[in-house]
Amino acid sequence: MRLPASERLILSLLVANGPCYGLELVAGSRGRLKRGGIYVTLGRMEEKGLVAAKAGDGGRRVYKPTALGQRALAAARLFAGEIKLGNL
Amino acid sequence: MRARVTALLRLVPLDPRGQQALVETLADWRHEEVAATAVGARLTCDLRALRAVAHTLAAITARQMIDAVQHEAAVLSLFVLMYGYLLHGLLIEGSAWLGQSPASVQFLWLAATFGGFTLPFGALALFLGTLAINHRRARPTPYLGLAAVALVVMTIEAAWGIPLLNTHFRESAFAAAGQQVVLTPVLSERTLLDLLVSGGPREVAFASMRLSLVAACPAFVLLAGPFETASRRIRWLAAALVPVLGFGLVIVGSQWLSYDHWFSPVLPWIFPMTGILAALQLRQRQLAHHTLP
Repeated sequence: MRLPASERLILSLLVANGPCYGLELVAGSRGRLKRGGIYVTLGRMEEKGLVAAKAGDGGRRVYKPTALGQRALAAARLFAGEIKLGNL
Repeated sequence: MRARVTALLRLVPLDPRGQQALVETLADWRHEEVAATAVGARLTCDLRALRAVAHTLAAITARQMIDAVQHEAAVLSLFVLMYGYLLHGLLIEGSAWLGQSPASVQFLWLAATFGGFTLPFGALALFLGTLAINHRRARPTPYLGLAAVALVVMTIEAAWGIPLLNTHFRESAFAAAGQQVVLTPVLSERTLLDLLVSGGPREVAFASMRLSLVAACPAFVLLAGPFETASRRIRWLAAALVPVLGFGLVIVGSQWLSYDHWFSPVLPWIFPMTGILAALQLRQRQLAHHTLP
């Protein structure tokens, strides 16, 4: 599965910080994710099965990575040389 | 402001994925609005949220455009028509190069006329294809993407396609008659930008006609959206009625071009505006099914 940079960043943030709202992901990305595109990207990731969402407050949703999402992130990091096989 | 924007956004035909993205963007706005109590903070919050809504809509449209091209047979038919249109241009150019007889010029004139007719009917093919395909499957139709694709294609055709074809036709006619002349571009052979920049009344009238074709295209596609949930009989009625509107656009347009002293440049806009108003009216009737906060 190809993992675009934005999806990889979202998965990294979710794995590091735990379940987040979309706005929290934008704030945590330090400008690399935009408010206008975050929910379209999250929707696509949800369709791929990389993240799961549950209802939060006021119509917002909390996102967390699925097992598939965590495996996809680990594989992407492995290919990028960020981690070694022993760490998987 | 949020309430007004939400009311406006409810009129946009979105698929469930796009709708979800917009719902969450608006929920973020509401969340931040509660925290912003001072006037300045409220204004900043509104501006940032408006920008986010605009970006979300742009992102949804871009995604739907890709969906439309990848999955919609109706869009393919639009591109086939466009391809056919360009082929006419090549045919005429090729004929001019070969040096055809005057009889073939008559044939090419018919071909060029037919090419002109395919222009507004590209949008109608899109409409009919979408309407026909959609009731047989569960997949939501990306109307916003279809409208955007149609808008891009029609803009290219109206801005450059039509004048190019007209120029090729006239060149081929002179070539077939064995005449070598340097042609000065007439109104129908000038690009949209050229017509608009010139600023003369006849130039602006011509530009208005072409722009009305561009506007008609997404209007007719968006008109298809509200019919999605209609009964089979209503869908067929719409499928019959909308081409009549499109045909009317061509007829009135050509009449207006022939007798431009009779008609106002505003007249060609009746058709796209009718399409847009009808789409909005029908959309408002569907709002019970819409779940924007």
